[in-house]
Formats: sequence, C-alpha cells, structure tokens
Amino acid sequence: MSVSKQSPCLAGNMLERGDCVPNLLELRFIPDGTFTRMFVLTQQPPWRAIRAFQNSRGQALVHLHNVSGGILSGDSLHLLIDAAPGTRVQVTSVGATRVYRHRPGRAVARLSTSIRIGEDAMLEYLPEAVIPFAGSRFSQSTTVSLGRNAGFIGWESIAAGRIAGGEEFAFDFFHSELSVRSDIRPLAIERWSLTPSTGASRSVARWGRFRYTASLYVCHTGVAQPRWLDLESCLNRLAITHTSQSARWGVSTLIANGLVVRGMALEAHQITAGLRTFWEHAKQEIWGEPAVLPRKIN
Amino acid sequence: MPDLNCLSVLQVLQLADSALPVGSMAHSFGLEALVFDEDIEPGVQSCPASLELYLQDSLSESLLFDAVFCREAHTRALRGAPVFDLNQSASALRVARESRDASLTLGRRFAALAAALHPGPALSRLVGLPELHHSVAFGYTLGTLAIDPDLTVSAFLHQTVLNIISAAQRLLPLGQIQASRIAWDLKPAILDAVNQSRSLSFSTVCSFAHLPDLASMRHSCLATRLFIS
Repeated sequence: MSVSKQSPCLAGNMLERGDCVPNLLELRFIPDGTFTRMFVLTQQPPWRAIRAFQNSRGQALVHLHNVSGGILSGDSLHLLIDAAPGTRVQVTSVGATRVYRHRPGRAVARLSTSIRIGEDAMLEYLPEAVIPFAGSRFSQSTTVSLGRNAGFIGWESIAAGRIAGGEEFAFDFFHSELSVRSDIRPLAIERWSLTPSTGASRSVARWGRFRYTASLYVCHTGVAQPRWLDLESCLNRLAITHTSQSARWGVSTLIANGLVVRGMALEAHQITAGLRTFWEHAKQEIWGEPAVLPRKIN
Repeated sequence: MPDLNCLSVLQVLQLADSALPVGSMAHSFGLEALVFDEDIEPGVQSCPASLELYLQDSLSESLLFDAVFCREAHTRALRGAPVFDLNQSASALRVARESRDASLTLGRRFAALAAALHPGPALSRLVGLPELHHSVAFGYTLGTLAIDPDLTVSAFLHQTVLNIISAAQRLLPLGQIQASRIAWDLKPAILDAVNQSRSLSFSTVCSFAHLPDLASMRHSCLATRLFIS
C-alpha cells in the first residue's frame, strides 16, 4: 500500500510552508483461523505498535503509541489500517493526543488516518481525546471506507484546550476532516476549521458554552435504514437521561448504513462515560454482542 | 417584449419568497431546540441580539455550506452537468437527520414547483433525482433560468435567513419591527457569505456547527414541537 503524498489539507488561508517530516505506521489485519492477526508493514518513529492482543470477543486489540508524547509542529503522521475481509479489530491509543504549541518556521502539525475495512470485517477505532495546546496549529483527516457487510465504530472527542490549566480556545487553529463511505456512497462527512482568534468559538452557531465535544459513529453496510431509525429512537431515549445542564447528547441516523451520536459537555468524564454507554448499547443492538473496553492497564 | 433583467428579478422574487408553497415555514432547522435549551436567550430584551449573533455566525458556518452548494449547482446547470454527487455530499455533510430530511423535502417540493412553472428537460431531470437538497434545487433552477449566480446565492441565503427569523418570531418574544431590523442588519453578512462562496469549493468548504447539529438531533425528543425540524 502506498502512502498518500497528500497531507491533510487546510483551509485556504491557513497554508503554511515549513519543514515537514512524514512518519508512517501501516498495519494490516488478516484472518487466521478464528483469530485476527496483525502485521506491521511500516513503522516509523514516533509511531509504535508493539503487538495485538486478543480480547474476550476475539478481536485483535492494538494500542497505538506515540513515543514523542504528542504531535509537534512539523510532524506529519500517517496511519494506514487495512482490515482484511472477515477480520475483527479494535484500535485504541494509550493516551490523549496532545498537540503542542507551534514553533515558528515549522509546518503545521498533521495527522492523517486512513482505515479500510473489508467485506464482513468489523473495526473499532477508539482513541483518547485530542487536546490542542495553546498556540498549536493542527490539521487532521480521517477516512474510513467500508466494504460489503462491513462494520465500523469510531469515536472522537476534542477538548477546547488544557481545561485543568484554565486554557480554553487558546490554540491558533484546528482543522479537521472526517469521511466515512461505503462502496456505493459517502455516509458521513465532517469538515471544519476553528480559528479562535478570528471567529467566536463560543458562539451558539459553533461550540456554545461547552468545553468538550465528541462524536461516535456506528456504521454497518449490511444493516438497512429502518433498523437504524429504531436504534436512533432507542439511543435518543438514553440521550435524554444523560443530558443535564452540563452535558448534552443527541443521536441521528446517517443518510444510510449508520448513525452518529454527538455529545457536548463541560467535564471530560461526562464525555467518556457517555461515549461508553452509547457504544455499549449500539454494539449490542447491531452486532448482538457486548462492547469490550480496550484494556489500558494490567 | 419585457426587459429580461426585470423578468429575472421578478422570477427571483417569486422563487425566493418565503410564501412559496414548498413548506419552508414548517421548519426551524434546529432553532426550536436551541431556544428550548436557552442557547438563544429567551428574554424580551436579549433575544433579538442573541438571534442576530447566531444568524451572523451561521452565515460563516452552516449557511456558508448551503451557499457553496447553491453556487455549484448553478454552475452545473449552466454547463448541463449532473448534480448527483453534489446531493450525495450534501446528505453526508448534514449528519442531523431532521435537518437533512427538511432540506431534502424542501428541495423536492421546490424542484416540482419550478418544473411546473418552467417546463423543460433540465428541470424535469432535476425532479427525477432520488436525492435533492434545497440549496442544490434552488441553485440549479436559477441557473437554468440564467439568473446571475451572485443574485442566486444571495436570494437563497436571504430566504433561508428570513425563514429562520420567521420561526424565531413564533418561538421567542420577538416583535415584527425587531425581526425586520435583524433581517435588514444581516444583509452585509449575507453578502460576505456570497463573496466567500465564490472562492470555495463544495469539496473543501468547512463548517463547524456542532451545537446546532446537536440541537437538530435533540429536536425530535422535545415534548412539544411547533416545527417539523
């Protein structure tokens, strides 16, 4: 598999020249009897994927390490994941993705993730939160392509900054693109840029009064729309019970083959707990099996 | 023989009229939930400024998306190019079901009405599309009528803003003069969005609207609702 030469793009007024070092982690998962086996095809620092564990549901669980502890200006990290037909994979990160302050003369920090899920395969992508530090400049893109009867569960949570340190919307800019598509059509696209210095991030038209935002995508190309609509109703009832003055949740079916859960909260633990609850319910409903939290310690 | 420019303006006035029978008055596009959650301030004194700020910022986020799609559809109508992929992208970008369904419903009704008013193969093909968003239907129709692209995008945004203000009048203690003042004062912001849409592509335009999206997702859970979306 060749690495795309294109880094995540930026909004037109944010292009910046500077030194940029591409770093690639390329993982391939193939079925091996009743197991899923991981092959590390390319591994360049700061990426590190040590081995895949088999969890209690037979998924190959892999922890992604960034040994530099975060993403620095000039980094151009590429992650390619190929889940072959029939595989069952769970990918997580070992900690939050910290995006460090931009250094003059260096390129924008970039992270590009490309996930291909083959026929009858299922992949869960459950990274920790992204935390853009004060003065950081970050561009990320995630593309997910699903084969026939393939499943994907993925979440993303983003903090407004280092909240505990009193830092909110102090980053220079944050550009993000996400696309999930089947063989037939795009299922979901998110594309946004936040530049707190030029646009009011706290606006009701954007982020409002919250400090964290999160999205959970649940997709399966073998499941028809009526079932997603039923699940939307079910999860929206759950969303009502999880909504308070300090946290808000909502659920919506996508145009086809999936749904999205969105949450915004004042506290990080509300996002973590909410994502886990919706993930557990959705996985039980669509796949008929319990969600297994990625093991981080012990 | 009528002046063609005057005829174009009259056609735009009719097609961009909020009274056009396509059902746009039945939708708030998430505003009802934002009002319920008091993200839009409900007070008599504070609601006009809160609503205007929301609309102004929306014109550089979610409404800018619509502006870019409207312009692209207009361009394709002039070239006789299909808009199938444009509608698929719009559906994928509108992750909140109620807002997406509202846009699709309005698009379908608008195209059907336009095809009845101005029969021809281009608009007949548009009506036959399985997926058609309002911004795309509007842009394509006015492109087919050879209306100026800037006027087309301006009219679409203006109509959308007026519809949301109209919804706000039914949700908030907002008087007619205050509502008219907001619509009047937002015209420069509408033109800014029109100008921006000239240099943006539908495949790269950005919009951060997590809170309005979330409001649209929560709308179906409200105990009482005035609007479909």
